[in-house]
Amino acid sequence: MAVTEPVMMTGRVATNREVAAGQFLTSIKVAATFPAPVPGQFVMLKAAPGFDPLLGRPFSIHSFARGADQAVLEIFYRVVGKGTGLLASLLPEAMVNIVGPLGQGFRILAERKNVVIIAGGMGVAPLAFLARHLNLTRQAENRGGEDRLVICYAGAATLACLAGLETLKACCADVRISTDDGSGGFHGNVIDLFRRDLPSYNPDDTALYACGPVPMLRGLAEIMGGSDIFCQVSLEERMACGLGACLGCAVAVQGGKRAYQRACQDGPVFNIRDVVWRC
Amino acid sequence: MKLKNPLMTASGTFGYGAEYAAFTDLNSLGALIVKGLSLKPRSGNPPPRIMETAAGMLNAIGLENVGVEAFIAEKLPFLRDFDVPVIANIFGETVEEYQQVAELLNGARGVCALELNISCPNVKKGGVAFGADPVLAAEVTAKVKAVSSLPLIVKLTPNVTDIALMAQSVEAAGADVLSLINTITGMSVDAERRIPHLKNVTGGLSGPAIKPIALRMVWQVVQKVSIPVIGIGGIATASDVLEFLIVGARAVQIGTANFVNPGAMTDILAGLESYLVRHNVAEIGDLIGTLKA
Repeated sequence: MAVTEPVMMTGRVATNREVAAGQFLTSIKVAATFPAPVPGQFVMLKAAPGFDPLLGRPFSIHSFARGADQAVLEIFYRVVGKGTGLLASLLPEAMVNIVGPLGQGFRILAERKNVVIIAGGMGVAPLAFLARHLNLTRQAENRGGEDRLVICYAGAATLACLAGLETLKACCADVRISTDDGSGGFHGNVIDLFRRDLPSYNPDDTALYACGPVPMLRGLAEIMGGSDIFCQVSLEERMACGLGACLGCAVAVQGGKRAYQRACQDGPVFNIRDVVWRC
Repeated sequence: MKLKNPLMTASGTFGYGAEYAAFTDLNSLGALIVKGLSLKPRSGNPPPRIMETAAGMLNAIGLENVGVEAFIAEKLPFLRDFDVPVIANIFGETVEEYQQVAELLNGARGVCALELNISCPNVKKGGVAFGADPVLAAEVTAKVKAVSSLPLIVKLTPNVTDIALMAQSVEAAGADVLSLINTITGMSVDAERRIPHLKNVTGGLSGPAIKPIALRMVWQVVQKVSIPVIGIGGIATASDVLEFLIVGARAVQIGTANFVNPGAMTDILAGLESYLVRHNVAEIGDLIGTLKA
């Protein structure tokens, strides 16, 4: 759910680190007035003035911390083109234009006993924020017992490119991994790994959140078809504005009045059963 | 129509206004042109709908909109709270549909003009099919003018051989104002996968990349018509606005720049004010058509 009006401001790169081949963790300092994001929300970032690249790029928020005189938000991404390449090349103190926080975040069902996240590739970016947020909430409520309750399934092509594994281990009670080449954990894709455990999760007591490539999410949608487990997915689409105006980030949906919703305003988090998963 | 300043939001780049209210003081706009309205709601084209290109972007949204009735009932009341002229961009698949949309907007309090979209390149029926033919363009202009009580702006496509001819044709048919240019038809291909980047295959190119073409077309058209011309196409800075005014545009529309920077309208307006001070120009209107030979 979106809780605040977005703002636009100039941020400065605090640190920029390549954590694995082509995967960057960039932290950006913003004014302390930056509204607190909900896990699943995103920001539009434009790394340089000028017209090429022209548009900002949407990034899930990976972490957010507010200090007395500034706030710091982190994004975690893979370099895929000109926009991400430019961002990855920025040195500390480089200026970045930020609009956010934007979109509808994950619906948090705090009372559920099992919270499961399924991350494919860079899908870990918003899910790690969600896991940390749940841990903090749990600590604040002082329910006792284990501070970390999230069970994580994380998959990648190889163990070396399994994004954010250390982060996941730090914020999840259990991390179960899969690799396409068998170099670590289950040999296969993350949905096949999760599918084996699916019957063990009681629908009344489980909330499931997933983010990753479309084929992975489509695979999840197929196996969730016969299940009643609450399940949300965070989708990635090309965006021009991030504000709901350009209508570029259309997501085909079913069951409502409209054929398409906007990933930027109605999403990027959707109920997995509302999305039309085309090949 | 007298505007506070020459800056309007281009249709399709500013939603229905509310999307930008957190970033731009809507009262500061010369005019606000809303997303193109059709008689019935339209769901638009299948994705992917947009692709960035060098200093520009392609879009094939397909005129997704809430429909004119939902606009009047649900979107317009919000805009009435602001001191900003609202211009409704309208679209139809047939001349009759254009007329019906125009009739529904007669007496819609807060709407002060219509902009006739005969230039959308991304729909199968209507749109540019009217705008690329001088006879059809004149017909739809005259027929909408006949049923509408509002001033009529006709938005022209650059995807023609002679835009000045189109301009003269719709001027003769009764257009009060012209706006140009709409997007330029373009295409982009993913060479790795050998597929078009847009599901619609082609789309409309906008952004700074098209500004020289737009400027040339505005310059050509103002020499051939006597009605006011609104310049559109790749305007992103105050200097861009001034170029259009200097060649003879009476106002401009800002489009893709709103996507790049949600505060673009405000920033450009500040830039214009600074130019007037620096050049000791009393009224921005004094600059219109002052291109030196």
